[in-house]
Amino acid sequence: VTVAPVRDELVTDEPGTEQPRTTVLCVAATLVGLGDLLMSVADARGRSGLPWVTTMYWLAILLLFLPPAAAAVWLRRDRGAHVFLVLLLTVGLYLVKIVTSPTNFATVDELQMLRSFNDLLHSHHLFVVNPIVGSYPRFPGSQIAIVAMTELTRLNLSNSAKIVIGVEHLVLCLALYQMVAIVLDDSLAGFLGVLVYACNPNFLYFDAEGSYESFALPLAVTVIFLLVLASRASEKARRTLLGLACVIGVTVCVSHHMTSYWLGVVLLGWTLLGLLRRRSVLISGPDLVPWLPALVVSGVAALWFVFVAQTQVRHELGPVVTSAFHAISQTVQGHLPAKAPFSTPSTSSDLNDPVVLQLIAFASVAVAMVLLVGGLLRLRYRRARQVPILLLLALGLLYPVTLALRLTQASTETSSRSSEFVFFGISVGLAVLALDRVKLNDGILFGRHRSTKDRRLGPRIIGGAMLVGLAVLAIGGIVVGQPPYDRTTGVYLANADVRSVTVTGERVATWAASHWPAGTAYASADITNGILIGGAGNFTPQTGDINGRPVSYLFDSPIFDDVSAGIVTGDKIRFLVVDNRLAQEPSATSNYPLQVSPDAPAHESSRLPVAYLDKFDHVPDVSRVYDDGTIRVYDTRLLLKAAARHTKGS
Amino acid sequence: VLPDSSSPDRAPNAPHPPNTSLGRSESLVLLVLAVGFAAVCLGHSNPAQWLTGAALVLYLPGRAIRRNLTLPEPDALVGFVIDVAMSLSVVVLAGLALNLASADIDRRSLAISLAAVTGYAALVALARSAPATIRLRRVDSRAVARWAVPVLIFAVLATASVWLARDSSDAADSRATTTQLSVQQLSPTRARVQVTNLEGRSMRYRLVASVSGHALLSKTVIVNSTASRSLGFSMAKVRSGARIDIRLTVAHAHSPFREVWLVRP
Repeated sequence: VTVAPVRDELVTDEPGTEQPRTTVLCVAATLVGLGDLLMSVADARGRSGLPWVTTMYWLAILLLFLPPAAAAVWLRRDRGAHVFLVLLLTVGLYLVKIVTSPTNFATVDELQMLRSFNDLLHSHHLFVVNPIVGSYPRFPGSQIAIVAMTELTRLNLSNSAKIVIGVEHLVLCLALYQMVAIVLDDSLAGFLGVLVYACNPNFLYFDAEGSYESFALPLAVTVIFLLVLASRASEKARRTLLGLACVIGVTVCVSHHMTSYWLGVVLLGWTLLGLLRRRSVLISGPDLVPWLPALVVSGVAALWFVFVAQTQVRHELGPVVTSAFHAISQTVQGHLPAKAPFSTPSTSSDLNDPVVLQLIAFASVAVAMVLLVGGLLRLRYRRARQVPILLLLALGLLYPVTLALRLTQASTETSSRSSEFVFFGISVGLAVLALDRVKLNDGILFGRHRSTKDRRLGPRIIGGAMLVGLAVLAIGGIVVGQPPYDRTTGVYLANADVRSVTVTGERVATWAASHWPAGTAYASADITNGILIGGAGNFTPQTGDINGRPVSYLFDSPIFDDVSAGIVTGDKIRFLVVDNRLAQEPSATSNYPLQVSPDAPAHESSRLPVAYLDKFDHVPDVSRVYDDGTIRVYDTRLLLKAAARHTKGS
Repeated sequence: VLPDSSSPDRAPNAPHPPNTSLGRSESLVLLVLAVGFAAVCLGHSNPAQWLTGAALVLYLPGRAIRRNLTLPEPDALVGFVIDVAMSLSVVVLAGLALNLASADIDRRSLAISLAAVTGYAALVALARSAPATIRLRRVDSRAVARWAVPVLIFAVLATASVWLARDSSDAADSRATTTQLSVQQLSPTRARVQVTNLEGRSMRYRLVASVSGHALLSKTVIVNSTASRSLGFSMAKVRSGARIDIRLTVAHAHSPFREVWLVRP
């Protein structure tokens, strides 16, 4: 057999095997479907501000994860059932993202991408500058695919993205399943690999977004899967598969920076291990040295960085990495207090998880480490020492390192963005751990009588423990990866990603798109309105510093002084967008640097004082040109004209 | 998973695995579908474009290319993964090529290029494939029925979830009622006020534009739900630097409801 030697097919002619399978799968499908329905009800209640949302949410999560796991263990020799359960799990979990934002783009990343989607849709050309995130147009793979879907189907961008990313989600899980199942020759191991990977903190939300990483990662996994296929194929087929891997690898390189660098490292690692395998008996498995895909992917990624995206990637990733290292070194030296892991920056207890959930998050880390260490211990068996397993387990070793980055707020994002890459190691850890010893030793070391016992006891003892561990891993993964206020929909919260995106903000963005001149620069008191407006039209949100002052000074200052005027004229800010809700609702992610008074309670620092927002009403030469009762827009045209006259005169 | 027929591992006298593809017929079908689907996508807007467009982006190019490649005869799962990944790669590389050639990346160019890639690959496969020595796998209706039940159960519940989510999202949006008032300077002496009624019912507004108590515009307007009303007024007699206040109230109510202003340049 040259490819995919998965031999765990159900023996269909055994009497009475089909009926239990259909029953088990029906029960699993019903429970997962009910999980989605419950999630939808939780979201509906959240939108109306009704109680019991959190309870329903966690119950739905358990329904989505546990029934497929239990069914897979029950039908442990049934490959067809495992494939169905992989599809069920993937679609069931993807629907969580769909029911949270069924009609529009809803997360900050999606809204930032929307600008590049719209630019391509209207200009019909690539590499149009995105003033919100400069690197998006420099990695246009996802934009081309999603805009092509929009153009050809005439669906809107949001629905097109949901279809493309949804299908790619399936590709990722099926490729991972097949990859592990083929390498370990065990269908259940393949399913468990997918199951554990689905517990990674970013799988449920971040990697389901209509964004460039969600587009590139499934293709990268497909490249690795093709190498696994190639390692077991005939010479002619191997060349074809390596060629396909090169083509898809190039697509990854033009789609997302971090994914392409990760893929390049994996392929170079595979090449190195492949060469070592020829000299060492320690590494087992088929002989493959994928030098061509490794060369192509790492070469194209490097060339793309140097000639196309160097400035943008440095601008995007540089400060993140630098501030992460700085914050960590400050914390280690004791100059900066460590952040409580798995908590939000908000001081409000309503915006943080209860202690029980935080403990489960810690427990989930412990479970992940057990899986990783367990997988590493299994390396004493020859079958586990195959190149793909070694590679992915090595990636998993980075997991504890990334967790250390959660000790400071500045480095938390770096940690968060790495979990979808390092979690492949955890998933392979469980897959290897779940293999019985007979398979690991090809039935030689322990003898058949031992294997029969293992097979009888395995599902009962390990299966029960696995379900408990899985529940902890799934719940903990969500607690680690998604702040509590952004898991379901709900009433408005300031600076809270999905919860800050409201129809009120979308309406002001629509108004701006039809009333503002193209290329207009503006500043917004809150990030979400700023991104909504920037995504809807060809406008430039001004952020960062000008003349040594942050643009946010405009809104963080009690008066509109010369510094404010300098920021407006220096950055040519034509419109100021002010949302009254910043003064009414607590901010989920930031505590404003100002204090109403020294004795003010802590929670007051998460609300912007009304006077800070109302000050623009009293500035001469500033017109209020929009008012909907919640959001106001001020026009600074006369200020800019006066500054221009002054500059001209001097 | 079926073994590779060209594999050196296969015993020389072993029977060939069943050919599960449609051979020439499939290439012909792919060719027709590529041209037909592109035509549908380029035609007037219609519901079929959901299917034809998605197939052109996500499946057909990869499937047509795979027919030309020497691969281990894969099962449906492997085929699905390769087809989708290759199709998306073709779409992305086609987009880059169009941009490099300074051509517009629009509906027309995308449909034509994807249909061309699919059609060319299907034609090559058609020319290369052997005459129909095809043995189709018999469809086991009982097996289909067994899978159909859990799939159907999940599909019904999933559809209900999405429907409920959309319904509650729309309801939440419709609850966010408001009235938008905006002003726009059209020229140094002309301005326009716009009232947009998003209150969910027809509204009767009182609109007053004034400078130091002197009314430039005073009017009662009835605006239907989700409609806008624009009113222009002259600023010719207003001195430079003066502030023109525009106040919107619900008719017969006195407190200001919305307020904007314009500083005369």
